[in-house]
Amino acid sequence: MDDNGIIRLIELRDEKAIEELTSAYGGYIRSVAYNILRNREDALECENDVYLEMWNNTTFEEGRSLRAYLGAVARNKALNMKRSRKQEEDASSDVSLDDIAELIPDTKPDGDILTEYELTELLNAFLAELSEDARIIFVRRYWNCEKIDEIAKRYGFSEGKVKMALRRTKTKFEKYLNRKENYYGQEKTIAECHNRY
Amino acid sequence: MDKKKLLQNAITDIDEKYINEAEEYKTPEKKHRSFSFGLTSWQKGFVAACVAIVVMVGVFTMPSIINSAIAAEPTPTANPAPTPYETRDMKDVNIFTDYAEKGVRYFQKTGDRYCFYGKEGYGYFEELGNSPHLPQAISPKEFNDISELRNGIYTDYDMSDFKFVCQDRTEYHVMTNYLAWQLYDLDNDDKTIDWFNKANKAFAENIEKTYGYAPKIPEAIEYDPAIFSEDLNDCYIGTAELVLDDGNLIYSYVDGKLSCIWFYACDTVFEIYSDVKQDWIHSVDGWLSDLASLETAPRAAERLRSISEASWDIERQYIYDCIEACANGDDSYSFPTDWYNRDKEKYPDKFYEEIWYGEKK
Repeated sequence: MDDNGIIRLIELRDEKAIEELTSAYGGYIRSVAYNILRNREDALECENDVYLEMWNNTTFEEGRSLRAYLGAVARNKALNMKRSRKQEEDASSDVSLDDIAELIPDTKPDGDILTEYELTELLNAFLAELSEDARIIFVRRYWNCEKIDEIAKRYGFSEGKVKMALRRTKTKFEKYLNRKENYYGQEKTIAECHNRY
Repeated sequence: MDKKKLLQNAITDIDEKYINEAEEYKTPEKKHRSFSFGLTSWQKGFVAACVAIVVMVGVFTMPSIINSAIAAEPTPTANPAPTPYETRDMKDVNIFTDYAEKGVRYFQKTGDRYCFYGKEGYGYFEELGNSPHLPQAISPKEFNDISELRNGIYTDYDMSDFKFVCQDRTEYHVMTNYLAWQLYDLDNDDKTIDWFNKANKAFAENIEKTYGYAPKIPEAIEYDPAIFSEDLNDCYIGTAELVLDDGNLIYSYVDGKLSCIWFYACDTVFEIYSDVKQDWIHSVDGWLSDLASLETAPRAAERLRSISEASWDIERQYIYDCIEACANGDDSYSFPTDWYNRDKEKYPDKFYEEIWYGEKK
């Protein structure tokens, strides 16, 4: 059954929708959740939460990717579950946002706090500038929370290439965040703005 | 502001097209960088025949475009015809003598391809089993005309400025006057770099003084100081007559003799032998302590220590094995094919492929 059919079932409150969702996207949802939680039972619990969320979301936007939506919901659920259980970052997962989170400036060039929406927009614009390989590696690492060897294996890359791509992307991201025109389209760096004031 | 949480949420909401792209991406087949692109087999044969004819004519009617430093006039036995080499095993080829005599400045094996660079031009050829043909020399202009490399570094520079070019998987590192490195990733269009650090600036000034023009700076160069540090100012590459790169080991020759060996791994160049020091590094531990005291390679020392502490067991072992073998003067490392074969016996295929080719074949 295609995505439109599944959505239609949900709108009709037909419980067969859950069956179809599980069949089409269960594996994907579980993998997204598992990469974050690194626990099978938690991932299954998360999966069920995603179906519940989907069931309760009766206004799914037309034209949206169902898979991407489900993945985002799974990701959010898993992250929240992790936080609520005060789990420490799994060292074996080796996925830490610390190294790129530190690149985010405290404020925008005009002194205002950077909002989540604005950072998302910056990220989207930044990702658009990356090569395909660098972009998918970034997404796999930080959105899907996959380990480096998992990414390498998935795409047939060497681990060295994945590591190198992540490192370079981080460097580029830092430069990108430091260029004012990426916020407002003017040729100034954040450092220059800070110096000015 | 909790930057990590902010970033986590922002990443969650990135455009779904990127999420789908990562899900649907399939690694394309690697392009085979051959001398003929998209030609039919009869066209390839025709082109190859034309090239061979041009080379043969060039040998007899013009100074060799490979070698302008040969003392003796080319003799019929030095005629670069491929036939004498077709049946020779690679390990029987004295790379250094054969190519150094012909003025080849740089010779590199990358995957199944051999590239050489001569003073006035360069070319490349492909290894057929263990019997490489003699390289067919072509001029930089002809090389630049090859469509696949048109967007690469070669169109931006006069190749005679280059000391050598090292290919590391999909990336090209260009060494010019040992003061500057440029890193091009031919698999993508990312080209942002700060060309002028202090060493590169000095280099550019030298080039202008020597050649009368400042090197053109391509719009996008990525310089990764983690790979090659300014320590290389002390190296011999700048004066080397011949540089060989067999993947992880880089050899330089001066006056026909081995002058220096670097071991390249984990994004770092480690100098492991130099004739000035008149010694090999005899043990990894000794080397670590030597590196720590060497002013020329503090970064390499730090890097190696971090490797030792990392969980890359196989890679660490590989490095140690290389170093130990070099320290014992094992000159089989001079022959890429021998090292290739021995490596293959010792290490798992997966590791082997990744070390030598950077990706699964």
